[in-house]
Formats: sequence, structure tokens, C-alpha cells
Amino acid sequence: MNHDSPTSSTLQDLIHAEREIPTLPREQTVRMFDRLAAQLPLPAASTVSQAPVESAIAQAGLRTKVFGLGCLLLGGLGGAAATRALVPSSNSTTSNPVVTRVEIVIHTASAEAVPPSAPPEIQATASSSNPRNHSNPPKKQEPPKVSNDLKRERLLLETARAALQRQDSASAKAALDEHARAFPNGQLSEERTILLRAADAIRP
Amino acid sequence: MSAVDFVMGDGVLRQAQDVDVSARESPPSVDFRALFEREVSYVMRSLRRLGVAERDLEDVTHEVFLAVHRRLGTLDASRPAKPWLFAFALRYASHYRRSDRCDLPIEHAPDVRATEMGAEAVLERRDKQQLLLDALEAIDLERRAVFIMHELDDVGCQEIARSLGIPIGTVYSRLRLAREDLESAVKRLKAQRGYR
Repeated sequence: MNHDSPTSSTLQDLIHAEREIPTLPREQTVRMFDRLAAQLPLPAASTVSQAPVESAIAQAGLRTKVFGLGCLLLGGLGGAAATRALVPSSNSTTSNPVVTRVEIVIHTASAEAVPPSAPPEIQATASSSNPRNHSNPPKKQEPPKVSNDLKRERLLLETARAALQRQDSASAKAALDEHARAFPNGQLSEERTILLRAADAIRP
Repeated sequence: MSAVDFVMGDGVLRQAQDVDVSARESPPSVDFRALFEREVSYVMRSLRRLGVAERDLEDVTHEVFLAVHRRLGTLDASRPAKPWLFAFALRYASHYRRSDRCDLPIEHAPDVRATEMGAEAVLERRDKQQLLLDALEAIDLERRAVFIMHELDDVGCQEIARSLGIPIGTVYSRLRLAREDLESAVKRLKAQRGYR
């Protein structure tokens, strides 16, 4: 192992396996949020779910089953009543009746409810979020391009690391040169510099 | 103020109760529910990698997000949220590891994709995941945190330094040492378990 300690292929294999851990099932996410909502001035997830479902699908890459459920829910955007009817029957496991929609409170009253007291903050949050849920999807905070760039950066540096592991400085430098051309000021440029030094240290 | 200012302070992890996280810094501009829905899986994964047992993951994640909610006003929406959240996870994992709750061994994470893969592939992947978790257990928490952020979460070294409030050189140093420690731990564990 040289001074830069590039990751071995064995370790890379383990890292690859660990990266494959899936996202949480939608039901668990809703249940966990409802637990938080019982302690915080928030509306329960199981009572206003359209926008987060879309957001979760777009950004967390939920699988087909959940996506189907999301489509089902989003399909009801044109008719709020239809959507309200779908939400509790398909997706709610627990709920917090701290909501402004009387219909949902009635539907979920028999679930594992958390006794609410609705402070003004809750009312404001719930009512201000509703119009957005029915018209405009929430903004994505992390544009996919950033993530893709980072993945490409990482891939190039992993290639360089693997080459260094084989003492193949030419291949390592080629990958690092490509990284320098594509991402002169990339997020991993500091590591590129270090790997380049490691490549220079290898005697041909 | 970065998350680190209260998470790691002068570089030494402090007890959770040492820091008052009850005060909201400023009115949050971030939608907490959207943040939760987007990142709860990430926070749970991070806690697991930081040594929180499967049976306690939901509880500790709950505690993390209670703190996140209180500090939401300190989140810079122009920066990635994951490193900021990781700092919370690190602090709560550190606190957890000093508590009585982590006396029992860490077990496998449930694999909800098992039905989509062959049983052999699932078992092989689980073995690898468990091997990595066990190897991570063998290394210092601060090094482990840097390794997880960089190698598993694709966070750049500069961002790690910013999030954890440590110099960039320390990030490189911890990363290098973490890799070395991890390589040794993996070799040792594989030999013990009779893996090739």
C-alpha cells in the first residue's frame, strides 16, 4: 500500500454492496414522521401526503411499488375529495388528527392516534401547505446534475485509485487528467491532487 | 453557524446533553417534512454505519430529527443537506455508543429487496454489508465518520471539513488512516470467518 492508501478492490467490493441498501418503505417513513408530528408543531405525514410522495419518488428513487402508490395519490390532484378518500385506505398506518381537514380526522380516528392539541402554529402550517400540494410540486433542493457530476468525478478517481493499486501510474494519470479536464474545479479536485502525487511517486 | 459548531466543537465529540439544542436559530426556510421524507433513509443508514443497532435505529433517528427540527434555521439551503445531517447523526451515534443501549451486538439490516434478488445474491450481499459494518466497528469513530462521508456518501473532502469543522488536512489524514485500519480489519475478519 502506498502512502495515499488507495482503496483495495476488496474494500471497494464491500463499499459497493453497502451502497445498495435501499430506501425506507413509504409506510415506515410515514409512520416515523407521524411520530415526530406528535411531538412537534407539524401536520402528520399521513394526512397531507401528495407533495412528499412526489418529492420522495423524484429524489430518493423509491421503487416501482411505491411509485405506483404515488401515481395513485397524484392522480387524485384534480379532485381533492377523491384523493382524501385514497390516502387513508391505502397508505395510512398511524395518524395525527392535528389537521385542518375534518374528513381525514374522521377517517383516521380509529388508528393509533396521538391525542392532539392544535396550537396555532399547526393550523398555519397545515393551511399554508395545502394550496402548494394541489398546484405546484415542491422545488428539488439538489439538482440531479450535481449528483451526476459528483458520481462522474468519483468514478474517475476510483479508476485512478484502482490503477494506483496496480502500480499502474500511466493509467492513473490518464484518469486524473481526464478528471482535470472535465472538472478543473470539481468537488474532488483536492483528492485528485493527492492521487496525482501518489501517481508521480510510482517509478515506471 | 455550521452544524459542527455544536456537534464537534473543538474536535472532541461532546455529550449530547452538554449542548442546548432547544433553541431555534432563526425561522427555518426549509420545509422540514420534505427534508425528512427525502433524507430519513440517509440518516438511518448513516446511524447504522456509525454503530447504532438495528433495533434502536428508529428511536435514534427520531431523536436526530427532533434536534434537526430545532436547528432547522441553521441549515444553509444553498448547501447540500446530507453533510449537515450527518453531523447530527454523528453526534447522536456518539452519544448512543456511550449509553447502555449499545451493549447488544449489531445485527443485520432487513433487506426489503430480498424478493427481487436470488437468495444466494442476497446472502452474499448481506455478508459483505455485515463484514463492512463489523470492520467499521473496529476503527475510531472520527475516522469512520470521514470514511463513511467520503467513500459511501460521495461527499467531497472540502465539504466534510466544513461540515465537521475540521481542517482539510485532518480530513485527508483521517481518510487515509481509516482506509488503512479498515483494510486491516477486513483482512482479519475474513481470516477469522474463513472467507477467501
